[in-house]
Amino acid sequence: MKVLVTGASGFLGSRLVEVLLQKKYQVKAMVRPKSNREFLDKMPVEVFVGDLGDKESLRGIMDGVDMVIHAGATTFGTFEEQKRGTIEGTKYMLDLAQQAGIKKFVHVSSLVVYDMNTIPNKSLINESFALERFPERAGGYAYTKTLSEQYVQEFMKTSTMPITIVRPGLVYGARRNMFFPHLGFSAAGGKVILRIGCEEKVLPLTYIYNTCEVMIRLLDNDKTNGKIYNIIDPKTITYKEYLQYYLRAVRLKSIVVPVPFSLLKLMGLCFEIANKVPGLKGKFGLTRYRLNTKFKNVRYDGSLLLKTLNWYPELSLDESLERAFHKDK
Amino acid sequence: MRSAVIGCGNISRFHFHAIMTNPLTELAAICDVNPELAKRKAEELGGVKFYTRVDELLKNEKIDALHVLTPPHLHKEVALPALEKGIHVLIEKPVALTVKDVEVMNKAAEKSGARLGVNHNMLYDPTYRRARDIANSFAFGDLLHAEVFFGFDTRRVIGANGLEGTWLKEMKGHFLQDLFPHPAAIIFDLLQNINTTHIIKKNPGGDNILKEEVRILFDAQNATAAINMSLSVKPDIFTLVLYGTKMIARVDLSNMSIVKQKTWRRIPKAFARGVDSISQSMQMFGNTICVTAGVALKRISPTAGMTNLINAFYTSLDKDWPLPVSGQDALKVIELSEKIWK
Repeated sequence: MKVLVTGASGFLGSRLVEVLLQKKYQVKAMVRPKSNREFLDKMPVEVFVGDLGDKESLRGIMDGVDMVIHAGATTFGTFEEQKRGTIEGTKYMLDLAQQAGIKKFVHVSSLVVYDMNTIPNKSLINESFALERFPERAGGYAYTKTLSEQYVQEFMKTSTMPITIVRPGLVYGARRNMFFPHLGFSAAGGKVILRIGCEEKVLPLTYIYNTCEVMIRLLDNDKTNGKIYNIIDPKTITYKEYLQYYLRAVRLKSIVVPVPFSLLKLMGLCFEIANKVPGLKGKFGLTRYRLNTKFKNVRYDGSLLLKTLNWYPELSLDESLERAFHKDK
Repeated sequence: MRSAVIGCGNISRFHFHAIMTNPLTELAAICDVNPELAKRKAEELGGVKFYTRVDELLKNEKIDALHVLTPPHLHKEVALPALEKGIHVLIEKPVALTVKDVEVMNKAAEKSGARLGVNHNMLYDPTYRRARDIANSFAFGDLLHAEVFFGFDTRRVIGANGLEGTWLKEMKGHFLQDLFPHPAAIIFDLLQNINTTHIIKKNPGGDNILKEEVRILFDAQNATAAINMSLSVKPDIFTLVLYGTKMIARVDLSNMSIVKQKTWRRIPKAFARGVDSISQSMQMFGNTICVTAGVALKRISPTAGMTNLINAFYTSLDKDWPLPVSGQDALKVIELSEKIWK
């Protein structure tokens, strides 16, 4: 079985390639012309160079491929570039995969697609919750991820190709900055960290190897066709506990200051008013709408996928954190 | 949605209450073989329609969901025609007495597209939900062992005639088999991929079937567990103890309290014992105040698990979400139950 991985030079994509190879899959790794391929060059994979936003460059991408994990997205550049790479890119990939008679297409979406502004505080969000109603107000990444997922959902309704959509949480592991922007703001050159929200707020973490494991298990599981799944580890850690762990692990002695979410929202309101002042129009992006998408106190339910796959992470949370921060390369 | 309830026994008032307070559904009709009981309940409920035969109810009423609260050995008989007609069904625990019956119902549901839910209400009990969150938390560490003790004083419900004339007689394990889904649902919820189970059955009372003791040991991927059930232990008890790598959580499900026991590494051992006792008693005291106040102010109800599960059932039907407890989930419980009381 040959699996095409898009976004193969990225944090998730590169690990996916590694785990797929361990599981004896053949891998075709798609990267952009400018991507760092150092990691991929060391592995026995076929590298395909192309640009998701450029249909011409994707010619022949499905040759010899049986299954696709579409983890690629454009997360940099102008809004237009992001739209082209992420939304148009997804459309191209679906069309090409359909034409090539691909046996399974896994679309990697994100938790940002949920409509955080209508979801009540403290909800446990499962896969059936509504998608973002005003993606254009939620920022570039949320916008492009929401629209591409909407497209995949529509496509799924008419297509005979087996498709599964996954929405991974915050994926942690070596080779990435593990100070997630959701944790809060770092101030005074990192000496102070403003942690947003209450103490019990839980981080929707998923360890990179757990994420890869479930995605690969999806590939040959027919029950998952046409379905959508959150990918969240069953064990939970609060923002407070994670920050403590993080600071100890990276040997930082920052002072953590808890900031109530309501205070931050008040700031958002001030920005919204400031945005209406002529001359400052639209200068501040931190609106209450966007703050809600990032900092609201909600939890995500990842149990459906684990139950469907009948799989449970082998490593404990402590061990996964230990590996992510210290042992994994 | 329109709902109907079959069986107007003790448990029915919780279902009536949940249905009538849920905006997603309304109570269309009730049914009981006992015409007087059916009539009385119907009057209490403000003149809702009542039947004494399920087939008549199904024929005359257009309903979307059916609650089956009959004695367990009749669950399948009552639920099957409804499931075949595509009516969603919520069945009280135990869902059936045999694996075969559960499978038949699951198949019928799958065929017609109806959904089969089971009332394993302990899974939606607020105290258990809190305990479960603790077991999954970073502060708790990994679950090593979970232990449930379920003891039930039969004198409360049984008269001089013993089981004679009660539906409990239809079950080989009578009380214990009827109550087994409570602890079992919890253990199946906490354990992942169970490898082996070991059953110990004992009867210190000789021929007296009301003295049965049951112990079950589980070995699973993430932890081990034990279920202890007794009809002789006094007083009534329903406790869950969760042993973790960083904490022990003692959960009293009947008294709705949780006491967390942590290590006190920085204090000399002799002091630590004292501090631990003080910490435990403080938690217990705080808990007692909160629960008492909560119950007095009607914020906390001992039967909240039931209401929560029924509400979750209707939300799932409305939004096409996975059911709180499906017929497939309940199958595991019945498989083990059948093994215990062959």
